[in-house]
Amino acid sequence: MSESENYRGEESRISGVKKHIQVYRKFLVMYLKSRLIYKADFVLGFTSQLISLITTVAFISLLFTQVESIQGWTFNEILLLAGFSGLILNLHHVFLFSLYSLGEDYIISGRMDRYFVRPLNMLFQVFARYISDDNISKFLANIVIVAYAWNQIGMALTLQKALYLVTSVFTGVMVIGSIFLVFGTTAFWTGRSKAVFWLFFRVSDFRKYPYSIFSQPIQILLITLIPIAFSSFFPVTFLLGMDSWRNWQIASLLVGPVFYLCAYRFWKFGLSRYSSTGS
Amino acid sequence: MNLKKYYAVARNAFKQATAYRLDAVTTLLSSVVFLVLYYAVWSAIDASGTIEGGLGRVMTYLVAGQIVSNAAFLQTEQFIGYRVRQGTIVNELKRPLSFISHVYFHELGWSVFNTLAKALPIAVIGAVFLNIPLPDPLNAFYFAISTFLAFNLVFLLAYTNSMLVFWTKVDWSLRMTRNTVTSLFSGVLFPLYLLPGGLETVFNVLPFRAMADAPIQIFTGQATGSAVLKIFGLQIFWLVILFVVAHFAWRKAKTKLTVQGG
Repeated sequence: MSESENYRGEESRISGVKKHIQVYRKFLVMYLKSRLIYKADFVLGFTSQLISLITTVAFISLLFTQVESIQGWTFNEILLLAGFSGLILNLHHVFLFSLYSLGEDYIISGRMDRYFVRPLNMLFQVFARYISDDNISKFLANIVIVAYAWNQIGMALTLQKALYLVTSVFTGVMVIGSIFLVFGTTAFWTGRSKAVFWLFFRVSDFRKYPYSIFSQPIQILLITLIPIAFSSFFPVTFLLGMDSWRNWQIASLLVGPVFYLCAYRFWKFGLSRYSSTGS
Repeated sequence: MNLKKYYAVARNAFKQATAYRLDAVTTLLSSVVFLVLYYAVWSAIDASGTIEGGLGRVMTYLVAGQIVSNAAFLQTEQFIGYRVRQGTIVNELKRPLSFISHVYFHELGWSVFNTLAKALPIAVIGAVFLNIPLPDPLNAFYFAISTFLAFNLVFLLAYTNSMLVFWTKVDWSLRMTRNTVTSLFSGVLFPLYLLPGGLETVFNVLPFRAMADAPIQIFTGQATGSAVLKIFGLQIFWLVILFVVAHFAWRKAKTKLTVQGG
């Protein structure tokens, strides 16, 4: 929190980062212990996420029983698009999913109150409480899908592409993170967040299909209010060597941190509007 | 038989549902987003090849699928899972009505609300914005019956699936798996009349087809006259089978009943 940082100065800011890492480790151990009480949930969550991914692949396969390619995109290229954008979502969800229930589990319940009295960053505390471990299975499975599709297309993995791939995954996570932060922050006014996230989950399905098939209003939506095109279509066109999207491919590497900074400002603003439910 | 108590359960559930108006609006918007997305996807497919019956038929099918799924698809695992975890499941054994009928009429109350708040608006949206041809009064009547049968099928499947909560203690993953599998195999995601021959047999031996594709066929006018009766027959056939399965699942689960806390 900015207040404690102010009076303790630069030196303690470094130890502050260290402290956050230490606390995160403690939270992680605590979380894993609590997870082991419901072992079946752990296994079922893992399996159910895998099944949902298999359903996605099955559905794409069914679509391709009707055509050879969708606007020039072959089955394997769509698979790469769905897998790549999927693994970004999953990687994000593993660590940063708790904003999903910010309204219901933190604000309305009054849990937020106790975070204010701790000398730790507020957003950090929200994230540290929950690890979405069942997203790990989907994350790994999506890597397999990307590798499979890549191999089927028969592309070479050049150093340039490898660097772009890794960087775009991280900036992509930031793009998704900024959407989550903005959507979650609205809960400071509405008191609820799950409903708007359900809407996001539905809209996030747009990431599996080529951006160019959508009408202009939707395209604008996918680069502004819900900018998932930067964590799906644009980076994938680079990996596939499509030159016509050059500027967007470069932008994809830059927008992540920018969006996240803006979203964090909005979060701070929302936080300043927080008043306890007093329960 | 005294029907009053069943009516009371359904009415309470309906009232409860009206308290979640925001959720209703969100699911309605979700359906709109779904239709917008797949309108774009199927338009692109239509432009790159030829779809049997054209784009209009696909969209009519998908809109009908959203109507059916909003009216008849349920979250039963959540209702039962909550009671198992809280331990209040013991109260269920003391009620003047059986557990299955309590859950059934609770879900029926919700389903009536969902039909009014979500399914009907989608029919209107489909007719106004996508020019979906609505069925004539007689077919609409058959469609309603078939959707009600689909509701019963979904209920029995979800109820059976919920019995696993007695072992797992958690419900969301069970519910999610049932939902994803149902939407793929029932026709809500992909129009089943487009299936290639070999795959169709796989879909035909599974009960899911009777949960959405059956009423959709009536809505789109693909099935008329005696074909409608055939569809009802198929749905009733699966109802009998799923009812027997549900009955045995509950008997097995009752022996596993453990009450946490107290």
